[in-house]
Amino acid sequence: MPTRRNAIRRRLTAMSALSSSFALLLACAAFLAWELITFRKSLVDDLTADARALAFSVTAPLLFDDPEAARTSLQALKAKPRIHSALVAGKGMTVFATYGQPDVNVSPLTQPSTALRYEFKPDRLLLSVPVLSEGSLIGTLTLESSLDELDRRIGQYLLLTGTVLLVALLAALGISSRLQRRIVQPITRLTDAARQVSRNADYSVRVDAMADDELGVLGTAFNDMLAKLEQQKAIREASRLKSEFLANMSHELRTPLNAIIGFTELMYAGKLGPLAPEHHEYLGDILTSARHLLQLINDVLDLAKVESGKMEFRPERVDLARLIGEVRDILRGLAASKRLRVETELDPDVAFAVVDPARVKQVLYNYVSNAIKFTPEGGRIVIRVAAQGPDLFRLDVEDTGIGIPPEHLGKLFVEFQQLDASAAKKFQGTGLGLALTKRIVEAHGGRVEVRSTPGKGSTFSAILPRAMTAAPQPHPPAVLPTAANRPVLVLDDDPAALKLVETTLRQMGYRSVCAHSAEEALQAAEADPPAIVVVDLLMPGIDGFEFISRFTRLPAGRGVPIIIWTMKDLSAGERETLRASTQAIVSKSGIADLVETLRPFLAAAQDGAHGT
Amino acid sequence: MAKGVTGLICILITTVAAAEEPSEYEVKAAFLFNFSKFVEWPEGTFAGAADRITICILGQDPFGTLLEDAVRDKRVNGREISIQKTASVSRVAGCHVVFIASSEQDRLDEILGRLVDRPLLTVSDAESGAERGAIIGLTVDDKRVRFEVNLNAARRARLKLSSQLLKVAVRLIGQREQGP
Repeated sequence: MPTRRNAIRRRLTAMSALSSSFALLLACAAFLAWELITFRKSLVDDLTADARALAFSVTAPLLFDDPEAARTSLQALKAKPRIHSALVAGKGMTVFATYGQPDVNVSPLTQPSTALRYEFKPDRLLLSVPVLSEGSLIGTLTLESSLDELDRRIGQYLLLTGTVLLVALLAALGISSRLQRRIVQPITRLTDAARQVSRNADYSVRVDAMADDELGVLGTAFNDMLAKLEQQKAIREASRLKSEFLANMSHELRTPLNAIIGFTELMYAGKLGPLAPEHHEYLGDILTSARHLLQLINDVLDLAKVESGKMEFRPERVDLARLIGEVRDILRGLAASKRLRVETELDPDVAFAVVDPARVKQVLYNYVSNAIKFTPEGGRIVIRVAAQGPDLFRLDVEDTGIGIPPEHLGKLFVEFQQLDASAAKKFQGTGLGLALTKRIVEAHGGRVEVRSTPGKGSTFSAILPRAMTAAPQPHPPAVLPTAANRPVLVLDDDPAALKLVETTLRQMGYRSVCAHSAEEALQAAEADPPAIVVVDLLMPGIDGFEFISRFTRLPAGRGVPIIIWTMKDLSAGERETLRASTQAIVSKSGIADLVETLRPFLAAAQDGAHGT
Repeated sequence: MAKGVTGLICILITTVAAAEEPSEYEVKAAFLFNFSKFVEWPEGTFAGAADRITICILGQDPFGTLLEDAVRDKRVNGREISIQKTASVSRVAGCHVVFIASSEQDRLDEILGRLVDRPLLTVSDAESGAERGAIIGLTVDDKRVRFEVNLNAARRARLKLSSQLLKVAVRLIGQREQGP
């Protein structure tokens, strides 16, 4: 990690070192080149001056053909150690006089010319001047100068350049490392903070205030982002807690409601003795209110489930006519009370669909109950099923109700929004039905629609896929071996529920054994082998699942039908597990469903008893 | 170091003298002309800037056309050179250089005596001419033409001889002038 951590720093250092040395090198090279050129020029100039003076002094010797005198003149060069050799050539390119060891054979400069000529060799400088007398060329003087001085000069220069380069580089590194700290340190701080955030999911980390530059902006943005994340995390946590609370509360609220509804149903049905007419009416009111409350709670719970994506769908092949019939049956009383005609129009092409019947029923129930609510007495409601392309079908519920102003259409499917408070009072809506409908339909892969003309009526539609997924095979009804006069064993930790079941069964003429815990139930089963077992799943200590597995291993438990009666929402996996060992799963809301489910098993048990 | 391999033309310079050795009087003609380059005549010697330098030959002319050839188309300090043969000393007016041929060897002292103090560069072709009073005395040493200079005679003639010329002389007679 440390190497990676310092990568930017090292890169910055390398960058500054490279760029500064490049600049310095370039500058030094230019300087050196310039120095070389000027120095060479000055060498040539100096040598030219020497040559001209010497040329003058060899004029007379040349004119009077006196090489000795010329040599004497050339001896003056002893004072100039850098001039190695000299050569005076006569007019006919004859060697007239020399000094040192001139390389006469190769000197092209000895060619007669009135021009000044010079030539740089790698190790020396050759320079020729004409020797003139009265404007006419009488000879040529060639000097050969060593370049030691130039070499020395270059050497000194390179040394100087190298020193300057080194010092400048060190200085540049020092300065840049100090400047870098200003860039690297904030980056390191940011990196550390980011690492801490990602490692610990700790959004409370903040980067210290930084300079007012791009990195500062980055740091501020980073902090802002963290603040928002922290906020969001808190919101999500709060939302999760709320959903959890809501689910728990809904569950807790349904438990007592179950007892209220169950006993009220019993009383209302006159099973507990004759009732005065007004008591009957009041019990009816209690039932209506309790059921409404239960509906509300169920809606809230469903909405929470859909929202959290926890709602499961169990698609199966559904006879739509039958499904519609069932919904109509439920709402028949309500419709009749308002003298509404409810009609069904079915497209024979869409007699069946693969959907979750419970959910589609819920959707249809919501639409139809809404239509009943908002349609004046004597109105008409049409439930229509029609094909929509090859893959979809539409479920329309048309009414002749009050209609909805266009500006309100958009709000219809938004949760917790009722068109107005007075409507809520008058029509007893939960404000959740349509929102839930929309969520359910969309989760099914469909969509909702609404058309309305105020004063004339509305049409609510759900457009759904014809086949959601392959339908699982319905579980075949179990064979019910039973013996005479054996009790129904009821296991539930809720005493009210136990009492409700016991009372109900007694009303129906059956004996039941109640157990508050699994241990109690297992003992009871051994002591008094049951014909049927009704069991809740959620219990302290040994829960329903464990009880079932233990019970089925008992000799008394073999082949005994087990009915699950619970508020627990079962997952597909749990349902699959239970399917193998139990005969039915009934949702704990009122007692009516349980009674309906129990009836064939009870009858079978009785038949079996009569048979033996 | 690739000596001898240069882009420029290499010229072999002959260290021996040219094939045809110049004759004695060819050299002497050139010397006679060249002396005038190293001599400064007193002011007023020339009337105009373009006045010619006149070389007079006294006595029997040994040059033939050699001298004419040597000075043809040449100028000294912008002046052309003319050659004049003079039979007698009395007719040296207008001369700047007087060449006293070897034929006048016996009369040399007399001639020099008559020319003394006049701004004339006297050049003697006779033996030890300079010693006898000529400003320049030509000599031949091992077939090489050399010359001697009589500084006293030059001073008397008010001629300034260049130090370059003196450097080349085989012998200087008399005292050098003081100063530069």
